[in-house]
Amino acid sequence: MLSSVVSGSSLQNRLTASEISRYGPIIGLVGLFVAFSFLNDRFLTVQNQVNVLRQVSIIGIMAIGVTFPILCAEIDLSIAQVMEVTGLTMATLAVGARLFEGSAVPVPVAILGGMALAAAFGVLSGYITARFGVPSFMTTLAVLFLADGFGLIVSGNRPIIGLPESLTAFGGSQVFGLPSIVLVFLSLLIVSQLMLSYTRFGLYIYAVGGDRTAAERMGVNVMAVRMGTLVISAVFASIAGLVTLGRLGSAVPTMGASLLLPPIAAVILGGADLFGGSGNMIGTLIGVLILGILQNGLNLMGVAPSGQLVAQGIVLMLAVLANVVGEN
Amino acid sequence: MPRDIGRRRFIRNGAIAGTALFAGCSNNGGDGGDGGDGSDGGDGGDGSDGGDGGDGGQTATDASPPSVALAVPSLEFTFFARMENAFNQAKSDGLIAEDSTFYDAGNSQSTQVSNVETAISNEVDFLMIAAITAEGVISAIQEANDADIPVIAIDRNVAEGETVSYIASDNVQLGQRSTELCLEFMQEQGDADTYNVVQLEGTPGASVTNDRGQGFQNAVDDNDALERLASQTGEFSTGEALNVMEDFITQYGDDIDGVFCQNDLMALGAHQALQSADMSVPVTGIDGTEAWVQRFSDNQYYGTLAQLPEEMVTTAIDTGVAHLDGEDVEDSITIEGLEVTQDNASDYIDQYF
Repeated sequence: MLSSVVSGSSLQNRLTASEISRYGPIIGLVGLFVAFSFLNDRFLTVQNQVNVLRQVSIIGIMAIGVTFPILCAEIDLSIAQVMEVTGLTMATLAVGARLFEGSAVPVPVAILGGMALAAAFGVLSGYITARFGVPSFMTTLAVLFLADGFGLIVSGNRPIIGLPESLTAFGGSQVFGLPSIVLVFLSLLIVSQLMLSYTRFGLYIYAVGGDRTAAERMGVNVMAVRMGTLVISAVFASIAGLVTLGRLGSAVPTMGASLLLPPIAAVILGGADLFGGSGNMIGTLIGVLILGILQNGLNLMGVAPSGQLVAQGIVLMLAVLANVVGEN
Repeated sequence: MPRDIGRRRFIRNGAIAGTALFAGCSNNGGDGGDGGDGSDGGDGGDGSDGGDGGDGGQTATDASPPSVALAVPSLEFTFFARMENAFNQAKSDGLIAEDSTFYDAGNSQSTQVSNVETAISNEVDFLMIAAITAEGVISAIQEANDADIPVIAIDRNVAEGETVSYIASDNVQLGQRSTELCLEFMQEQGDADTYNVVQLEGTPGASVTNDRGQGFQNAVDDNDALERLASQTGEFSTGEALNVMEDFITQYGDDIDGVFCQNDLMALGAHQALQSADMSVPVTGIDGTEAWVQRFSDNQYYGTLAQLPEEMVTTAIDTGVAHLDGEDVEDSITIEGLEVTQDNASDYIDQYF
């Protein structure tokens, strides 16, 4: 933000540095893409590219959701568990099993029920954060435990199979030859970017994330914006839960395991500032693709788990380094 | 300004507390994972091939059943919940006294220690324990030793202190048998000189992963017809296994003749990937998870090695009773997994779920 008042030769330097940060993620993505194309002859096939999109969709939807709080200088640590509990709720409601034994409801009601539960979690952490000033780090951490517990209660801690087709269609069918899960992901991405670019709410998110006090003085309803971002993030997590049902063909009580950090990492990889105020959905898409392509390519090459972890560590470190170089 | 500093300090302290809490919670998660490993680690045979010294003990309980205690890490895991059912069943069958107690530690080490101490002050005849960690209960076990209460370790051995017997499954064996079941299926499905199998591994570094992986390797070494095509971690998770299986299919396609998964949740993911690629190859898992076994009705070449915690508890009770009767019992009893295929899938589900 200060760069506009800096003059002379330091401006020159700053531009190059900020260019690295702006184009770093996309250069990284293209680099990985080219590298894997050379290293593996099946990487570039259409089928594999569709696979990659399918594999990143769940993390992608959660990453889009969590981009909102991150832009607003908040964080949502509960996405994985909210995704899990809402997916399980939708499944048990639709099938009429476990907690809802014998009381099956129509699929649309089950879906709305799950999303309403997610929204309730978002309102809970969002309200306490916005109203009482408790860091969202803490409130969403509390929700993480809450949601995890509810997930166990709802599912009886056992997988649920035999889901109705209308429920699994969102994540497990083909539309115009493309997997539906990818279409859900990309449409949510576009809608979210439009929301950020063209609505007042989107503008306020950046304003609050950039400088909360200034935003407040300009008359922005900071409380509503902060709470709103956490509600959005929770609802997106529930959509991720919905498509996961279709992708897995069943509801598994551990389906959210290890899905907390990848979405957040993807957002940061895409160049968003963890402390708010800058970033966008295209960046998030790039971040998600970097993670997805990295794993897909390494899997195709048959790299062992240890090697994969090392590679992920290196890529993440380079990406965040590029980010910070741009900042200073 | 002071207000701002105050807030900043609050946020920073909050973050520190949060990090600490988070570390704590991930520790918990680790414990949970351990418990999960425990649930992976334990299994039960179908009694008859338990081959243990305690089987004859049942008849010896006629006089007055012993008062016992069973302490488990957490009922969050189906594995231990099934142990509780078996325990209650033994109680109503009169194998153990009415005042026998079941303790759930809620995944807390200290709770488990107090559970054991309570059992000691209740002067139980013998104590059965599935420890949260091998080291965490040492002091409690020693108290039991001092009070001359026999201890039987189930599923996870204790690091120190005297135990009468240790009853658990052998994950190496489970891995090997499941892989060989997969080989049998491949041979039934089609004749070939060699069969290429891919492995979906568990969480890297977990002892269950290492043991079951060792079993897979043993099977590959022992059978000339078996070739290891590829192996990758699926983190014991359905979604991760699905991603990895898709990549396997992209890379190896029709070369894949069979899939061995180190647990059943990953087998569900492998099934999903194979189904969307219109492939039909044998898939075997380990654990005997209900949702996986339910898939067998449509899939002739799907199988698993089920763990039967019920058998573990009854074997432990039998062993304890035999020990009280003055018989010699085995130091360690391995319980075989039950092979579940399409043939016995519905019986299995009826009996245990």
